Amino acid sequence: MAGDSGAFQELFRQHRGDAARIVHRMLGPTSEVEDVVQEVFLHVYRSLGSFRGDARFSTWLYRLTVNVTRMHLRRKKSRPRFADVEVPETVADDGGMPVADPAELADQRARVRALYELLEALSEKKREVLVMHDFEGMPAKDIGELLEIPVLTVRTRLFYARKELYAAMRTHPLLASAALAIRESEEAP
Amino acid sequence: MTHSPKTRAMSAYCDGLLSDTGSALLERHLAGCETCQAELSAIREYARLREGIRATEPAIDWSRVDAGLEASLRAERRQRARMRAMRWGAGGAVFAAAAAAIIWFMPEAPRVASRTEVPGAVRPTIEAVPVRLTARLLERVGDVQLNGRAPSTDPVDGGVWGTGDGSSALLALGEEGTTVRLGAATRTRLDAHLALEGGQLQVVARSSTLVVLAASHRIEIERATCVIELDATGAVRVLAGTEGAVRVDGELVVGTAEGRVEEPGGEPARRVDVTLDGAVRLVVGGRVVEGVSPYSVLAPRGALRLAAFDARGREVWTHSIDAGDLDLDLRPSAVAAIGRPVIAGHLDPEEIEPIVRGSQRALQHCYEQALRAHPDLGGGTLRARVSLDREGAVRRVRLDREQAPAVLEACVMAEAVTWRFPAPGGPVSFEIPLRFRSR
Repeated sequence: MAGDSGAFQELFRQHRGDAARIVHRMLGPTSEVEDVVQEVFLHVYRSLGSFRGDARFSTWLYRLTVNVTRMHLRRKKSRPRFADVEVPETVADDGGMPVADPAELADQRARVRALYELLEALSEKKREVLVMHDFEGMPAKDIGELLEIPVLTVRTRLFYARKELYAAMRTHPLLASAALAIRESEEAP
Repeated sequence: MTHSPKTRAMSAYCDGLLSDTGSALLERHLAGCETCQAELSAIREYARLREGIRATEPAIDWSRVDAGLEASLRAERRQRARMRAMRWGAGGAVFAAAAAAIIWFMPEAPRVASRTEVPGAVRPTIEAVPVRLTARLLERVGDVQLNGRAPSTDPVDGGVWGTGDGSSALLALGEEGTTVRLGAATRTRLDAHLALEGGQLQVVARSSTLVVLAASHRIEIERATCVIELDATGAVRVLAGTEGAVRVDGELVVGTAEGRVEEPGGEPARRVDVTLDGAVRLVVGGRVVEGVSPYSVLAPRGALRLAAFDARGREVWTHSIDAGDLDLDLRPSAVAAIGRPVIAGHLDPEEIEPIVRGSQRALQHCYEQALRAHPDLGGGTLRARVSLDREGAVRRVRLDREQAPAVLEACVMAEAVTWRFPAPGGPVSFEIPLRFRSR
């Protein structure tokens, strides 16, 4: 099947959204998502010949996407610093869509970015399980099958991943203050 | 007193899974334990962020991914072809002597000539025809003029601005030179809808983006902050203000223009008529084409993929033409009638090199600086991936190299963003390997 350009284009069109969603949830809000998605489908193109059809294509693609993203994160971690500057554009590209509250949106984005910074400190195994379960909404059983580990191991990793994350959030200046604000708003009469 | 927070119990408490008694006990503990209070707040904040992440769909510029992937696949196919050729060459060398001997003694066989098909040209033509504009005014209409006069409010055809209930308008631009002027005091938020006469094309403009279709009209919209002009050649200029104008492709007909290629059955080859709704960018055979511009693409053998994307990078149309073994040559002449090139996005290596070479002294300084900080720094290649806007200014630089010292990256980055290239006419990305070596 490799090299069958028409079939590949059809697969790309049908499944690219899923791949992008997984990569985005594993990497967080970063401009690298598009590059990784591109890399995923380059791998798909190369590996289609080895896809035997004994698993669903979506499952195969999910596994491939996780692997490619994992490799990307490893490469990124091994560098002292990944340089990526964005020169601000002069023309707004929001397409004129109304934004509810820009300040709130910016604040939300900053907190999501902070959360992903903390995720980077987790071990690869814990982070993957956490992203799949909490962000992707995947059941523990499916995660076990995908990663080829027992369900109990999935649950244990998830528990410790969250525990470490909460501990890190308690001392993170931005996330701790946001958490405090929630508490105060709930305690207010 | 500090202790390890009761994470499991508090997660259950947040999810409403604790019994009344369990909840009461935990609340009593929480009242006197700051560690657990902070933990509970973190759990709640995490739940909020998690829901936000789950609800967020990534904003992907598919046209960029599409074009990048197409280029990578093309390189991949070329590489495979080279490998096949090399294998064939090696095999050929091994068998050359034996084959020569066999041929020498073989009687001459009759040759069967296989006719090679002449590649036919598939050309996109984009036609400019009178446009019809339907605009919903999201805010009150002020002073509106059509061809210098206050337009009628009757909803009839031919140059009518029908205010109706004051919130909607229909404007038909049936004649050349139609000018619409919205007075400076007019506060307009247009939710515009442009359509080609005959309903071939519909384009939707969002509130802050005015979309103008290539046609032989001159449309001036004067606003408190902005004048946008579409000139007779179909080029859009923003004369003042901060709002952008987006060129929108008209009808896209992929088929044959004059001298059309006939299939054996006599039917014209591969003609695709398409309605593009809200499209601002086309990708033809892996090349991004914005606006109605002459362009040329030498497509690969096999399927030619066409796709159109809206202003937010979402794919609104896709089509694949199976060209069999024909090489498709999309020639600019087919769209020459539209006007001068507007956006093509191309730079030759000869245009890139002098600009980068001009920074040699500065880059050398960067390297020397890095060597002072890291005396054991060897040589190597720093790959700079540069993205330009249509004016040739650097929009983005990414550097990629294992173990590059931060001081070197920062210095190179600072230099790279100052590069100014000749205007490529459209967004362009390329990679430059910067090689550093100490003497």
